[in-house]
Amino acid sequence: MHGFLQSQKDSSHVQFNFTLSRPEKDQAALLAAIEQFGIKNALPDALRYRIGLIVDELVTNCIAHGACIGENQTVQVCILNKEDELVIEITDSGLPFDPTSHPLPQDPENGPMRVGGVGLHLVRRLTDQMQYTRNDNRNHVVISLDKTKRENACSLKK
Amino acid sequence: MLLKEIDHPDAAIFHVEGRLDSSSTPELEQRVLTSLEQGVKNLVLDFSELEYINSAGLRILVMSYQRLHPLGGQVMVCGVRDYIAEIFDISGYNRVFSMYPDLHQAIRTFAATQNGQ
Repeated sequence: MHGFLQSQKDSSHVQFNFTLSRPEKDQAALLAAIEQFGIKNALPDALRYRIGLIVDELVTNCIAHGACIGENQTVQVCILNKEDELVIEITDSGLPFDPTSHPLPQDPENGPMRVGGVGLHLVRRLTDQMQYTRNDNRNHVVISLDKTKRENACSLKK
Repeated sequence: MLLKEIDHPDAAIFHVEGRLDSSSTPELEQRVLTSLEQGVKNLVLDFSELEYINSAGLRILVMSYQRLHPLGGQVMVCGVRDYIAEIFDISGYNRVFSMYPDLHQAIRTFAATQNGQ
């Protein structure tokens, strides 16, 4: 899966392509653009939320833990909307950070998590596949979401 | 985000509409902190019109819980949409906060508690 979008960045297959040239300042504009992309492509509310949250949390990690701050750093987000699958690729110039293996503070099965690890935990649980590589001093994360999967309906604790 | 505070003698009630993300959480956090400093014991978040929340938004609820729980208070979350309820489920926070289908049921619950029922 890795490199799938990288190799198609100049083709019409990549339907969403956004570069944050000042990541800490451009994050809100990125999320607004993703929301518009989701509406334009008639994606369901739950899937739009999932995409936005995954990108939001991973870009926040780039900024907070990867020191991806300032004009010398960039984060690029590409999205490919296929019939049954949605692929997200995030490339950043920050410090090495592997969201697939970074330790989480507590297994949620053993109780509520400390809030510090929640964002990354949510990303792992909301993605169907996630791969990480480090190339050319950049982090590359490629995520796949299965569009055919039914959204979990949660019963509220009364 | 559109934030409305609903007057109630026994709780701080906030109706949050729209997106609760990194740009809007400081406003909610400040309003919640002000309520906590005034000695409120019950914090109620009406999320029936909430479209988006991230971990920064969840952090406000956790911070509130950490302050209120030792005092016998509680954080009540109402009306979350299914796709947002999933986030509470995955994070385990649905076992920490009291979750209610709507604001009316949350108010009825703590009103009953106040009356010793």
